[in-house]
Amino acid sequence: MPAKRSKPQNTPKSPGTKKRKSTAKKAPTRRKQASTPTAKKPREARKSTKKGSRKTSPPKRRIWSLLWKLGLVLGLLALIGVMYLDAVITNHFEGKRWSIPAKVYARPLELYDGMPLTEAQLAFELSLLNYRHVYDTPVPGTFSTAGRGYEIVSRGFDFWEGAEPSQRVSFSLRGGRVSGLDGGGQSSGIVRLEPPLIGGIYPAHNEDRVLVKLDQVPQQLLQALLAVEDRDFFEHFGLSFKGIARAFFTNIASGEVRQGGSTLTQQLVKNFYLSSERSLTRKGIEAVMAVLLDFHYEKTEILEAYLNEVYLGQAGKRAIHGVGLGSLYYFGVPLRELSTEQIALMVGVIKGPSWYDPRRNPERALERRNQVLQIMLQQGVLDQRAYDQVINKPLGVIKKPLYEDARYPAFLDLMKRQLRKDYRDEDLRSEGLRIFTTLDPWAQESLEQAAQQQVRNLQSGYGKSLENLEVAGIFTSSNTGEVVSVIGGTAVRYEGFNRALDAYRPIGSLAKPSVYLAALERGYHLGSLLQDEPLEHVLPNGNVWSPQNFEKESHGEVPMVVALAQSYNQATAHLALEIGIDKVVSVMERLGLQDKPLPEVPALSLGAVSLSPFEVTQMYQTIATEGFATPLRTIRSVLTAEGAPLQRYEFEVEQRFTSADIYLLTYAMQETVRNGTGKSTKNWLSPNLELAGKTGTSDDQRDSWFAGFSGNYLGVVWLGIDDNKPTPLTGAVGALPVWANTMAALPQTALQVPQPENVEWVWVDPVRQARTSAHCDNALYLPLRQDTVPEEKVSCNTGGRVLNWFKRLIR
Amino acid sequence: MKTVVLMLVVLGLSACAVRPVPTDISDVDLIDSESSLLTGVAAADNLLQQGESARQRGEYAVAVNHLERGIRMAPRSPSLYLALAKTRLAMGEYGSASQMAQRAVSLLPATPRGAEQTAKAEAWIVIAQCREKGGDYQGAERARANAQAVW
Repeated sequence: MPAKRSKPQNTPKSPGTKKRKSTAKKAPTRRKQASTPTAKKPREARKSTKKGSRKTSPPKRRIWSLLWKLGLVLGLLALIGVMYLDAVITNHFEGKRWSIPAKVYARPLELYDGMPLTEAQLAFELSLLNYRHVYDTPVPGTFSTAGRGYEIVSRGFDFWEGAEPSQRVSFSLRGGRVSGLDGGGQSSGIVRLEPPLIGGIYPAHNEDRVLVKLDQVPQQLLQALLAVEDRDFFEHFGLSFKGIARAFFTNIASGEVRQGGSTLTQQLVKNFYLSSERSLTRKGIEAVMAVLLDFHYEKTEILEAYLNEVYLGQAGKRAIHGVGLGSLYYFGVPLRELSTEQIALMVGVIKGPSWYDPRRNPERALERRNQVLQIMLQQGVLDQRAYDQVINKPLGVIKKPLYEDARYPAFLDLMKRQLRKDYRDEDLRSEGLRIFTTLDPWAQESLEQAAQQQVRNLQSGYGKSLENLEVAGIFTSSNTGEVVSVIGGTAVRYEGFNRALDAYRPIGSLAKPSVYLAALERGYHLGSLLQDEPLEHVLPNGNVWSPQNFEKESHGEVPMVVALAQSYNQATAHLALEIGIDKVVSVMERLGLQDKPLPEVPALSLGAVSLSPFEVTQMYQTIATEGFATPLRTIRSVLTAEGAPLQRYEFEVEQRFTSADIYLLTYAMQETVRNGTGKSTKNWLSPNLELAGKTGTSDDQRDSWFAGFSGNYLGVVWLGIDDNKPTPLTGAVGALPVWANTMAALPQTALQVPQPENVEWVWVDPVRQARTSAHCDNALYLPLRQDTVPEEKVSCNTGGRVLNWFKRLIR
Repeated sequence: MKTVVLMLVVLGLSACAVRPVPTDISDVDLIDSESSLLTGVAAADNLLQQGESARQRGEYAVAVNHLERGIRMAPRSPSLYLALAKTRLAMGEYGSASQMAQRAVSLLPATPRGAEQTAKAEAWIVIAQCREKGGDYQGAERARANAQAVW
């Protein structure tokens, strides 16, 4: 069949002889295209044969000549067929053999003296990489413990700046920090474990593989494979009659199909070039191609291709190909760490990856493995002693595959969106790129647990009304904008609606810091008095805007710092109207919403704008980075399949606000956590961390938000129901515990912002808008920008009337 | 250190002149200079040092990589940001260099002492040079005045 189709290739019809050179490479695609324009060809051919047959000659001679010609045509066709098969083989074998999915890695764990690390986190990180706990001297991929001391031997890895070899490192954990780190000969004092693989970007056919070179494959695996699948591999010419005969007799003797007669070369040809259809024709083509392949290429090349091609199992949609990935998938370790019994199992599984699936059919798989071990013994791969040592061992398969593709879907989603700005989808799916991300698996799992726990708690506390409660959250390294964790819903492993990116919800009071920042920029100070009084603002369309406070009461005159900490709506509304809503819009844009159309309406100041948690995080990131807009990044670098650096995603900052204004705003947000709406954080986190934060609750409590940061982490959490139903939750009751629990699981440093030159601390009497003394009633000690410090200095207020808001400040 | 002092004196004097001439020599000095301000984390100090020698060798991408790694370990250490700013300056990425130097300034105390002083002055010089490259001579003068004030 293929021979017929190849005919057009031989016709001189194809335009432009210059391009002919490339035909060899692109033959498979060209063929298809060629079939239409050359449709005329067969008719012309028929014509010519007709003419030939008109010539009259005696019947016998005619038959002979016909037979001879037929033979010639058939021979030619066969020759063309073989040539065609030959072209197919060489094209495919010499070109790019596989589409290798891009591999995505989490950040590597870097160990160094003084690094904050708890035992729980270390245990988690080691289990994620499947490091085995051993009691004697560790080898790569294992660790031993003694008291608080650890000894780990890393596996080594190709990082962006080059290969880092396997290293032996010892250290102890004291007071939540790494100490006494000894990395052997390494003087840098830093040891990196390999980054955990967290996913891939797959081609349409979902074949996944990790390419290996022949010299990376353990000798024993090669021996076992050849002993079981193809003993004469290095002697035969692609086909093995000996093998067929042996298989035949073995199968007859045992009464079951124990061995197949196909050589590795035939199996490779079958997988590589042919459909799985079982027919004699296909078998014939397979045999011809196997011989051709063997003729063209070294045995070692064929063996290497086989090892990378072989199908070993199915993980959902993903097909596990090649021994490199097989090793990770079944045993959680790289090839070179495989033990004898694991090698035997992997070789055994080749015969029927689904039938012998060691996770689903462990008994069957064990039987098959032992069969392989027996063959290894018979063939001299193992001696009796080695055989006895392993024959009774368990399967050694890890319960869950080392990386499930859907483990961190929300993070991968964000990462892919950022990646697609720079790479074509096709390249991501086929070029075997290695993508190094910022994901911190410990931070990720901490956020997941905190979120799921809180949703369960609320559901059991409030019952049916919160049945469909959803959650989303993003945490970053607050100084660099590197995203460390993302969740897009309560079903954290479910790759569905990613609320962290795609749920646009009113942000409520999370808008307020923008209002106060705009005011600070315009010369207000934290002691400036605001009117927390009812207001009726007539809008251009005639409607009246009259916001209420959450408790439905007003608080009279309050200093700015109190109004923000207590999240007073009316005070904020008055302030926003005073300074002009356009100023608030400008601040929001500079905080990170430059591409977002913002409604220039007074209600914007109280959060009448729908943002995604990602957008909110970008805004608060700018505050946490002291006024420097810092793009949220999920990718550090991209390497080619060969480990060559392709692209780095560099750390960039851009100053959008003065250090002074951000310093003052941050102080007010710290007041929020100390004494204001966020004070319940102290149930989880030490006040010494000086955290800054803001609660947010939208109208009718449809959305519960919390955003806040420490000296090293920033987090934004949202809770709500997809169809916008009201909930009984405020920001402090709903989102805050998720934020606080996550923060509590992470190693924290206190938030200490350097005091800018033009800021000074003064005692302010807000009522008289003057400086005062420390011992006076109503005196507030506040950081003020120098140009806003009141000139007047007053002595204590004689009245002795302590103002309402003052009493609320616990000092 | 010596070269920095000398340079600052020269620059300080020249600030009085009509227009500071953007000389390449001063660029080279700054790029060759090394930070004496430590990060407080030994491993990050090591990366800082490696980053600076990579920059001096002209291996800018390597330098950036080391310094960013250092920043992850000591994310509030001004010297790492300053070293990164100098690297971007050497790479001719003036906008980015200037911003990174501003960030270094923001992480330094209002009244720096000892090595912090040098760091702050250098950061302002980076900013000044970047502004000159962008044609903002007045801005550059202000930055140099800031450097002078710290010094």
